[in-house]
Amino acid sequence: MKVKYFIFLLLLTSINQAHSQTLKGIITETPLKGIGDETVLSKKAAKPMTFSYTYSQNKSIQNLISIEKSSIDTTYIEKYGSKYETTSTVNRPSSITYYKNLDAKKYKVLFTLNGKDTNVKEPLPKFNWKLIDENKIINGYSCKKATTTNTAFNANQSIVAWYTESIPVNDGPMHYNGLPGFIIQIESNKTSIQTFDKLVFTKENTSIEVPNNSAPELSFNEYSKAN
Amino acid sequence: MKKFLFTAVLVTAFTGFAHANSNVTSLENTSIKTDKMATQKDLEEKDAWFCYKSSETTTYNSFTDEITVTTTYNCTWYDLSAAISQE
Repeated sequence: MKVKYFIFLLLLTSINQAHSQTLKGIITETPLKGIGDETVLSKKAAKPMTFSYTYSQNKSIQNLISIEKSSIDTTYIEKYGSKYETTSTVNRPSSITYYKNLDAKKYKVLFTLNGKDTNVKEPLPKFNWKLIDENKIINGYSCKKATTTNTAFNANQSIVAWYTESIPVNDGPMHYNGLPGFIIQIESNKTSIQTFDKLVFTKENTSIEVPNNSAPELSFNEYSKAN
Repeated sequence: MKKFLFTAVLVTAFTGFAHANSNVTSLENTSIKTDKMATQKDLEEKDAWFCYKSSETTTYNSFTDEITVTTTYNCTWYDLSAAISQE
Protein backbone atom coordinates (compact mmCIF):
# COMPACT_ATOMS: atom_id res chain seq x y z
CA MET A 1 0.00 0.00 0.00
CA LYS A 2 2.85 2.33 0.92
CA VAL A 3 4.58 1.58 -2.40
CA LYS A 4 1.40 2.34 -4.35
CA TYR A 5 0.93 5.58 -2.41
CA PHE A 6 4.56 6.54 -3.15
CA ILE A 7 4.15 5.83 -6.88
CA PHE A 8 0.92 7.87 -6.92
CA LEU A 9 2.67 10.81 -5.23
CA LEU A 10 5.58 10.53 -7.69
CA LEU A 11 3.20 10.57 -10.66
CA LEU A 12 1.31 13.52 -9.23
CA THR A 13 4.55 15.46 -8.75
CA SER A 14 5.78 14.70 -12.26
CA ILE A 15 2.42 15.74 -13.80
CA ASN A 16 2.50 18.94 -11.75
CA GLN A 17 6.07 19.64 -12.90
CA ALA A 18 5.14 19.06 -16.54
CA HIS A 19 2.45 21.72 -16.26
CA SER A 20 4.27 24.17 -14.03
CA GLN A 21 6.88 25.69 -16.23
CA THR A 22 7.77 28.91 -17.96
CA LEU A 23 9.01 29.41 -21.49
CA LYS A 24 11.14 32.50 -22.00
CA GLY A 25 12.58 33.76 -25.26
CA ILE A 26 13.95 36.63 -27.30
CA ILE A 27 12.31 37.66 -30.58
CA THR A 28 14.02 39.69 -33.31
CA GLU A 29 11.73 41.48 -35.72
CA THR A 30 13.39 42.56 -38.96
CA PRO A 31 11.52 44.91 -41.32
CA LEU A 32 12.16 43.91 -44.96
CA LYS A 33 10.15 46.46 -46.92
CA GLY A 34 7.50 49.11 -46.50
CA ILE A 35 4.00 49.49 -47.88
CA GLY A 36 2.43 52.62 -49.37
CA ASP A 37 4.19 55.17 -51.56
CA GLU A 38 7.57 53.40 -51.42
CA THR A 39 8.75 49.95 -50.44
CA VAL A 40 12.41 50.74 -49.83
CA LEU A 41 12.98 51.56 -46.16
CA SER A 42 15.55 53.99 -44.77
CA LYS A 43 18.26 52.59 -42.49
CA LYS A 44 16.46 53.91 -39.42
CA ALA A 45 13.11 52.44 -40.46
CA ALA A 46 14.68 49.08 -41.34
CA LYS A 47 16.44 48.73 -37.97
CA PRO A 48 15.42 45.43 -36.31
CA MET A 49 13.50 45.51 -33.01
CA THR A 50 13.99 43.10 -30.11
CA PHE A 51 11.28 41.71 -27.83
CA SER A 52 11.25 39.57 -24.70
CA TYR A 53 8.70 36.76 -24.54
CA THR A 54 7.29 34.88 -21.52
CA TYR A 55 4.76 32.06 -21.54
CA SER A 56 3.30 30.45 -18.43
CA GLN A 57 -0.03 28.85 -17.49
CA ASN A 58 -1.58 29.48 -20.92
CA LYS A 59 -0.82 33.19 -20.88
CA SER A 60 1.95 34.96 -22.75
CA ILE A 61 3.42 38.44 -22.85
CA GLN A 62 5.76 40.00 -25.41
CA ASN A 63 7.54 43.27 -24.57
CA LEU A 64 9.70 45.55 -26.70
CA ILE A 65 13.14 45.65 -25.07
CA SER A 66 15.24 47.46 -27.67
CA ILE A 67 15.38 51.24 -27.17
CA GLU A 68 13.33 52.84 -29.92
CA LYS A 69 12.29 56.43 -30.58
CA SER A 70 10.88 58.51 -33.39
CA SER A 71 13.22 60.79 -35.31
CA ILE A 72 13.10 63.66 -37.82
CA ASP A 73 16.10 64.25 -40.08
CA THR A 74 16.38 67.28 -42.35
CA THR A 75 18.58 67.45 -45.44
CA TYR A 76 18.96 70.19 -48.06
CA ILE A 77 19.22 70.00 -51.85
CA GLU A 78 20.74 72.87 -53.85
CA LYS A 79 19.39 73.50 -57.37
CA TYR A 80 19.47 76.61 -59.60
CA GLY A 81 20.86 78.62 -56.69
CA SER A 82 18.02 77.76 -54.28
CA LYS A 83 17.99 75.47 -51.23
CA TYR A 84 15.24 72.88 -50.78
CA GLU A 85 14.43 71.13 -47.49
CA THR A 86 13.70 67.41 -47.29
CA THR A 87 12.46 65.92 -44.01
CA SER A 88 12.59 62.23 -43.19
CA THR A 89 10.35 61.22 -40.27
CA VAL A 90 10.50 57.75 -38.71
CA ASN A 91 7.68 57.00 -36.25
CA ARG A 92 8.59 54.08 -34.00
CA PRO A 93 6.88 53.17 -30.73
CA SER A 94 8.99 53.52 -27.59
CA SER A 95 7.09 50.64 -25.94
CA ILE A 96 5.01 47.74 -27.25
CA THR A 97 3.32 44.92 -25.31
CA TYR A 98 1.36 41.98 -26.72
CA TYR A 99 -0.63 39.96 -24.16
CA LYS A 100 -2.50 36.71 -24.76
CA ASN A 101 -4.75 34.71 -22.47
CA LEU A 102 -5.16 31.47 -24.43
CA ASP A 103 -7.79 30.06 -22.03
CA ALA A 104 -9.98 33.16 -21.99
CA LYS A 105 -9.21 33.85 -25.72
CA LYS A 106 -8.29 37.45 -24.93
CA TYR A 107 -5.64 39.58 -26.63
CA LYS A 108 -4.22 42.99 -25.77
CA VAL A 109 -1.95 45.39 -27.66
CA LEU A 110 -0.42 48.31 -25.78
CA PHE A 111 2.06 50.79 -27.19
CA THR A 112 3.45 54.28 -26.79
CA LEU A 113 4.00 56.28 -29.97
CA ASN A 114 5.38 59.84 -29.78
CA GLY A 115 4.49 60.00 -26.08
CA LYS A 116 0.87 58.87 -26.56
CA ASP A 117 -0.31 55.60 -24.94
CA THR A 118 -2.66 53.18 -26.70
CA ASN A 119 -4.43 50.25 -25.01
CA VAL A 120 -6.50 47.92 -27.20
CA LYS A 121 -8.34 44.77 -26.08
CA GLU A 122 -9.77 42.27 -28.56
CA PRO A 123 -10.85 38.63 -28.70
CA LEU A 124 -7.83 36.48 -29.57
CA PRO A 125 -7.75 36.17 -33.40
CA LYS A 126 -8.34 32.67 -34.83
CA PHE A 127 -6.37 31.49 -37.83
CA ASN A 128 -7.28 29.01 -40.51
CA TRP A 129 -3.85 27.37 -40.80
CA LYS A 130 -2.87 25.25 -43.78
CA LEU A 131 -0.17 22.74 -42.85
CA ILE A 132 2.51 22.38 -45.55
CA ASP A 133 4.82 19.41 -46.01
CA GLU A 134 8.06 21.40 -45.72
CA ASN A 135 10.71 21.37 -43.02
CA LYS A 136 13.47 23.73 -41.99
CA ILE A 137 15.88 24.02 -39.07
CA ILE A 138 15.66 27.42 -37.37
CA ASN A 139 18.04 28.17 -34.50
CA GLY A 140 18.43 24.44 -33.83
CA TYR A 141 14.69 23.66 -33.87
CA SER A 142 13.25 21.35 -36.50
CA CYS A 143 10.31 23.37 -37.86
CA LYS A 144 7.31 22.63 -40.06
CA LYS A 145 5.67 25.12 -42.39
CA ALA A 146 2.12 26.47 -42.16
CA THR A 147 0.42 29.28 -44.03
CA THR A 148 -2.58 31.49 -43.41
CA THR A 149 -4.01 34.93 -44.16
CA ASN A 150 -4.04 37.47 -41.38
CA THR A 151 -7.16 39.63 -41.58
CA ALA A 152 -7.09 40.80 -37.95
CA PHE A 153 -6.77 44.57 -37.36
CA ASN A 154 -7.82 45.46 -40.92
CA ALA A 155 -4.79 43.62 -42.33
CA ASN A 156 -4.63 41.40 -45.37
CA GLN A 157 -1.31 39.66 -45.01
CA SER A 158 -0.07 36.36 -46.36
CA ILE A 159 1.59 34.66 -43.41
CA VAL A 160 4.14 31.86 -43.42
CA ALA A 161 4.73 30.32 -40.00
CA TRP A 162 7.46 27.85 -39.02
CA TYR A 163 6.52 25.88 -35.90
CA THR A 164 8.20 23.19 -33.89
CA GLU A 165 6.44 20.20 -32.35
CA SER A 166 9.32 19.79 -29.89
CA ILE A 167 7.87 22.64 -27.79
CA PRO A 168 4.31 21.68 -26.75
CA VAL A 169 3.01 25.25 -26.50
CA ASN A 170 0.42 26.40 -29.06
CA ASP A 171 1.60 29.99 -29.11
CA GLY A 172 3.90 32.32 -31.05
CA PRO A 173 4.80 35.98 -31.61
CA MET A 174 2.19 38.78 -31.50
CA HIS A 175 -1.36 37.40 -31.96
CA TYR A 176 -0.28 34.28 -33.86
CA ASN A 177 -1.38 31.01 -32.23
CA GLY A 178 -3.25 27.78 -32.80
CA LEU A 179 -0.65 25.59 -34.51
CA PRO A 180 0.21 22.08 -33.23
CA GLY A 181 3.46 23.36 -31.76
CA PHE A 182 5.36 26.53 -30.95
CA ILE A 183 5.78 29.17 -33.70
CA ILE A 184 9.51 29.90 -34.04
CA GLN A 185 9.26 32.21 -37.05
CA ILE A 186 6.62 34.38 -38.75
CA GLU A 187 7.14 35.76 -42.26
CA SER A 188 4.57 38.44 -42.86
CA ASN A 189 3.73 39.35 -46.49
CA LYS A 190 7.48 39.47 -47.23
CA THR A 191 7.47 42.82 -45.39
CA SER A 192 8.89 41.60 -42.07
CA ILE A 193 10.22 38.53 -40.34
CA GLN A 194 10.01 37.66 -36.64
CA THR A 195 12.24 34.94 -35.25
CA PHE A 196 12.82 33.47 -31.81
CA ASP A 197 16.58 33.67 -31.31
CA LYS A 198 16.70 32.07 -27.87
CA LEU A 199 14.26 29.91 -25.93
CA VAL A 200 14.67 28.66 -22.37
CA PHE A 201 12.37 26.49 -20.22
CA THR A 202 12.32 26.98 -16.46
CA LYS A 203 10.48 24.68 -14.06
CA GLU A 204 8.68 27.26 -11.97
CA ASN A 205 5.56 29.16 -12.98
CA THR A 206 5.64 32.86 -13.74
CA SER A 207 2.72 35.07 -12.89
CA ILE A 208 1.67 37.05 -15.97
CA GLU A 209 -0.57 39.99 -15.11
CA VAL A 210 -2.89 41.78 -17.54
CA PRO A 211 -0.89 44.82 -18.75
CA ASN A 212 -2.25 48.36 -18.71
CA ASN A 213 -1.00 51.87 -19.33
CA SER A 214 -2.35 55.42 -18.95
CA ALA A 215 -4.73 55.06 -21.94
CA PRO A 216 -8.33 53.87 -21.57
CA GLU A 217 -8.95 50.31 -22.78
CA LEU A 218 -10.56 50.42 -26.23
CA SER A 219 -11.71 47.89 -28.80
CA PHE A 220 -9.89 48.06 -32.13
CA ASN A 221 -12.98 49.62 -33.76
CA GLU A 222 -13.11 52.33 -31.10
CA TYR A 223 -9.37 52.94 -31.55
CA SER A 224 -9.73 53.13 -35.37
CA LYS A 225 -12.57 55.66 -35.11
CA ALA A 226 -10.55 57.83 -32.69
CA ASN A 227 -7.42 57.84 -34.92
CA MET B 1 18.74 44.64 -129.27
CA LYS B 2 19.94 48.26 -129.13
CA LYS B 3 16.51 49.28 -127.86
CA PHE B 4 16.65 46.60 -125.15
CA LEU B 5 20.15 47.71 -123.99
CA PHE B 6 19.05 51.36 -123.93
CA THR B 7 15.98 50.45 -121.90
CA ALA B 8 18.11 48.38 -119.52
CA VAL B 9 20.62 51.24 -118.98
CA LEU B 10 17.77 53.71 -118.51
CA VAL B 11 16.02 51.51 -115.97
CA THR B 12 19.31 50.91 -114.07
CA ALA B 13 20.11 54.61 -114.08
CA PHE B 14 16.59 55.53 -112.95
CA THR B 15 16.74 52.96 -110.13
CA GLY B 16 20.15 54.33 -109.07
CA PHE B 17 18.80 57.88 -109.09
CA ALA B 18 15.77 56.82 -107.18
CA HIS B 19 17.96 55.10 -104.58
CA ALA B 20 20.23 58.09 -104.34
CA ASN B 21 17.22 60.36 -103.97
CA SER B 22 15.77 58.20 -101.23
CA ASN B 23 19.07 58.53 -99.36
CA VAL B 24 18.95 62.27 -99.72
CA THR B 25 15.38 62.29 -98.42
CA SER B 26 16.29 60.23 -95.42
CA LEU B 27 19.26 62.50 -94.73
CA GLU B 28 16.98 65.50 -94.95
CA ASN B 29 14.52 63.80 -92.61
CA THR B 30 17.34 63.08 -90.18
CA SER B 31 18.48 66.68 -90.26
CA ILE B 32 14.90 67.87 -89.69
CA LYS B 33 14.58 65.49 -86.74
CA THR B 34 17.90 66.69 -85.36
CA ASP B 35 16.76 70.30 -85.68
CA LYS B 36 13.49 69.47 -83.93
CA MET B 37 15.37 67.73 -81.10
CA ALA B 38 17.69 70.70 -80.80
CA THR B 39 14.67 73.02 -80.55
CA GLN B 40 13.14 70.84 -77.86
CA LYS B 41 16.46 70.78 -76.04
CA ASP B 42 16.64 74.56 -76.21
CA LEU B 43 13.15 74.74 -74.76
CA GLU B 44 14.04 72.33 -71.98
CA GLU B 45 17.11 74.37 -71.16
CA LYS B 46 15.12 77.57 -71.02
CA ASP B 47 12.23 76.24 -68.91
CA ALA B 48 12.36 73.42 -66.42
CA TRP B 49 10.34 71.66 -63.78
CA PHE B 50 12.42 70.80 -60.76
CA CYS B 51 10.80 68.21 -58.50
CA TYR B 52 12.19 67.03 -55.17
CA LYS B 53 11.06 64.84 -52.28
CA SER B 54 10.03 67.31 -49.59
CA SER B 55 9.08 64.72 -46.97
CA GLU B 56 9.13 61.01 -46.27
CA THR B 57 7.27 59.62 -43.26
CA THR B 58 7.52 56.00 -42.17
CA THR B 59 5.13 54.81 -39.48
CA TYR B 60 5.26 51.44 -37.73
CA ASN B 61 1.90 49.73 -37.20
CA SER B 62 2.07 47.83 -33.90
CA PHE B 63 -1.07 45.81 -34.71
CA THR B 64 0.08 44.40 -38.03
CA ASP B 65 3.87 44.79 -37.89
CA GLU B 66 3.81 46.79 -41.16
CA ILE B 67 5.66 50.01 -41.96
CA THR B 68 3.74 52.52 -44.07
CA VAL B 69 5.81 54.93 -46.16
CA THR B 70 4.22 58.26 -47.19
CA THR B 71 6.14 60.61 -49.49
CA THR B 72 5.42 64.14 -50.67
CA TYR B 73 7.03 65.71 -53.73
CA ASN B 74 7.16 69.44 -54.44
CA CYS B 75 7.72 70.79 -57.96
CA THR B 76 8.91 74.26 -58.98
CA TRP B 77 8.66 75.74 -62.52
CA TYR B 78 11.81 77.51 -63.60
CA ASP B 79 12.00 80.02 -66.50
CA LEU B 80 15.71 79.99 -67.32
CA SER B 81 15.50 82.05 -70.55
CA ALA B 82 16.68 85.23 -68.82
CA ALA B 83 19.65 83.44 -67.33
CA ILE B 84 20.52 81.82 -70.72
CA SER B 85 20.26 85.12 -72.71
CA GLN B 86 22.66 86.78 -70.28
CA GLU B 87 25.35 84.15 -71.01
